This record gives sequence, C-alpha cells and structure tokens, in this order.
Amino acid sequence: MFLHALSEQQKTHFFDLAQQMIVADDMVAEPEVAYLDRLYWEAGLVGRAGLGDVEAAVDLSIFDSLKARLVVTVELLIIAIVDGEYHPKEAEYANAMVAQFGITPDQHATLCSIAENAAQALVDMRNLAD
Amino acid sequence: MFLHLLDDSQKRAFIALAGNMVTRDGRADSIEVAYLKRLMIESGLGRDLGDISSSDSVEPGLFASRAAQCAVIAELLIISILDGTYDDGEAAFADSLVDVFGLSSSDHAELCRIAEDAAGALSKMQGLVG
Repeated sequence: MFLHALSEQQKTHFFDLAQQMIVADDMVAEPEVAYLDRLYWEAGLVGRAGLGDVEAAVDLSIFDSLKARLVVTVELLIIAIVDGEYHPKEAEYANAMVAQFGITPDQHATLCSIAENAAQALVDMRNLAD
Repeated sequence: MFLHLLDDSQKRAFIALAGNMVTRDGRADSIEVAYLKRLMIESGLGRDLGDISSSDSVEPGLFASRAAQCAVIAELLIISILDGTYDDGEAAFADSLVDVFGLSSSDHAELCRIAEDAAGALSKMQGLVG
C-alpha cells in the first residue's frame, strides 16, 4: 500500500522481510499470501520476484531513512494482521523490527492504527467483491 | 489501493473518472492529487497528471464484474474524502456511478466504510512520514 516510497533495492529487501513475517507464526494464511501478491503487483515485480531464504538475515541498513523504515514496518504489520489474527510470534517479529529501526512507541502505536485501518479495508473489500 | 482488481482498459477509464472526481468540488487538494498520481503510477500509466482526461460517464459494460465495480467506487470514494470533506458534487458523482453499476444501498454503505478505513490509513501515514 505504501511501497511507492521505497527504492527498487529497498523493495527487494522488503520482500525478504515480508516472507519472513508470513512464516513467523509457522502458518501461511491465504489472506497473507493474497496481500503479498498485491504488493508484488504494486511494486511491479509480478513474475520477477525471487524466493528468498526466510532464515537468512536481511541487511536492514538499506532502509536508510525514517520514511523507509516506517513504510516497511507498517507493511509488515498489515501482512501480520490481514488474516484476522496477530499471532504472538508475528508480534515478536514486528517488535524486533521496531527496535532495530529505532521506531518510537508513539510511532509504533500510529503504525498499528494505520495497519488496522488498511487491513480492515482490504478484508472488507475482499468479502464484498468476491 | 484496489486497482489490481482492474484490467488495463478499465484502469484507463477509471483514471478519467478519478480525474473528474478530484476537481468535482471545484478545487484540487494536494492530498487528492498526490493519491491520484500514486494511482497512475500503480496503473502503469505514467506520472504526468497532464495526461489525464476527465470523464463523468462510463461505457456500459466496461466494468462488468462486481470486483471491478467495487474497486472503482471504493477508489473514487477514497479520493473524495481524503481531504477531510465529502462535497455534495463528489457525493452526487459517486451516487450516479453506484446507480449505473446497479450496486445496492448496502453495498454502497460498505464501500463507504472501506473508503473511510483506507483514507484513514493513508491520511495517518501521510501525517507520519510527510
């Protein structure tokens, strides 16, 4: 939803993180995959996306602006909750990212609120349009 | 946010409708224009807002699927409320398209809720990252 704010290289690294978030709770929910597909489309990477090693560490230094770090975090939060559940392992993964990115508690709370709005809109649209 | 539900010809027609919605209230607010530009980029239609033609009508049958109809209305509603107001002219335009598509009043109400959630997410994100 907000990937237009990232550079091409940042988008590639973001998708490595997104794949890690999707498997963080040891389940791959269909709504999560659907949203990931939508993000690939938004990023212009449909059919060109690589499948990263979800165990491999991602170099976070590529996200060298606060804006990029906030965008990455909110998109990961949307992925985490778009299936209607915020699993403790997903929260643990998100919290680790928040800490590594130096995001403040106030910013984190706002990002959670944004993610809730966005996920709700996505879920409601899927239910309506299907 | 939902343009992935449209095919290329539908995207082009939608952008013309969006161009009309942006100026419907007699002014083009920066947040509406910014969102329109983002939609153009997502659609693969470039970044030049000067390329946008404005239309207040749709070719019957172009948006034949329910998913496409819902996506068009939701995106137009998002554009119309992003600036914090829902002008009478904007509402009349949205209402006319809802009628053309034959969507029910409950569908319309649900699309308004979806647009409010999506616009809320977009506005809060803009407030956070600028």
